[in-house]
Amino acid sequence: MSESPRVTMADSLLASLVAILDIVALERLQGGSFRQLGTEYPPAWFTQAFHEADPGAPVTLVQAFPALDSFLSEAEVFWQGTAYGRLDGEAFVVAGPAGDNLALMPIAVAMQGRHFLLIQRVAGFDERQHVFQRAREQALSHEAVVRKIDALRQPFAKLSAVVSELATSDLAEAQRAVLARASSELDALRRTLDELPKLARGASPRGR
Amino acid sequence: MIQKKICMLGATGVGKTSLVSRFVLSMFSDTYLTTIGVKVDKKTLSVDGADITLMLWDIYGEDEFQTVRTSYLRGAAGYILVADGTRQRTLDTARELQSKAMAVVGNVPFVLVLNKADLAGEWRVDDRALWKMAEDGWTLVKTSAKTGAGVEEAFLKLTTKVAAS
Repeated sequence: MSESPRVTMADSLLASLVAILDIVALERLQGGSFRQLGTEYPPAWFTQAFHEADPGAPVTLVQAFPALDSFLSEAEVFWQGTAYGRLDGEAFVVAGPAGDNLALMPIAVAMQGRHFLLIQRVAGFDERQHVFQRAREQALSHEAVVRKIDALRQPFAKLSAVVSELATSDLAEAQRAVLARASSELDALRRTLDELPKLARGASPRGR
Repeated sequence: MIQKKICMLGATGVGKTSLVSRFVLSMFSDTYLTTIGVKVDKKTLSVDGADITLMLWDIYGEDEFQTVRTSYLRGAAGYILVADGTRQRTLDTARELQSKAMAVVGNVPFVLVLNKADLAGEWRVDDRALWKMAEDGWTLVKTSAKTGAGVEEAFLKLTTKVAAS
């Protein structure tokens, strides 16, 4: 990542700006190597990734951030086919300097015949994770409830069969009255069960 | 040093992250924490005297909220399909993801892991479907990220297949 004659005042200003914003700005050079824009120290999370990949040895960007591997393949295609624009990558998580999880996002930029790779902290990642967490927890809970409802259907069907069988046997008038009440309650239960969510395709309860 | 990219694929909440955590760090937490994006961990295994470093791509789960981007799979030498033995639907998702993966990386080795074996009383996967998959040549391993049962075996089986391919 050495200085090149193409470094301009604008690059220097941009480098200061991205340092304040906790972004790493790299220019992709001919041959596939990258150089950091400007002379500002990169963020701690960036240098730490290089150190952890292989302390004391030369490390490539992909060795330091393996999750960039698939994005860089897409970025190469983008850079070859785009004169001006950006391509956003998916978030990836690395260990932060404090041992916490740090979410980063790569962006490929094509501009004035030059190709850049920005790596930035994902804004609002914690909120996004919280929303997905809640949504998925609710979906899993819903699935569990639906499974429990479905588990009721088999004993309900057996109970209905028993009641039907009773109806065909010799019963005293008082017993018939009790049976009629039981049938009525079963009908109400059936209507309620029919209104409840059913298991989706492919889901089968135990014992089926 | 041989390095191989291995992707963890499966529905939401099947235990992909827990399996990686158990395998790499020998740790397990009962708290479910959803994965956003991807996290890459690595672990070196020795197979037939050769050290192979697995780059384990723990990719977010497939569900109604997010579909797995196939670009994550590019360059994978193998993958682990994870299903939750207590949720039959996750087996269907595993099958769909296998088709997706095959379209991107071709016929690379994979292992189907049926996780949460510690919840045997709540097991709901259809045994006939599992037999059919085994007959079709799928390698199936029952695991529990919670107890650690089968976890090493699953990764070792895949690594052996990857090394031989």
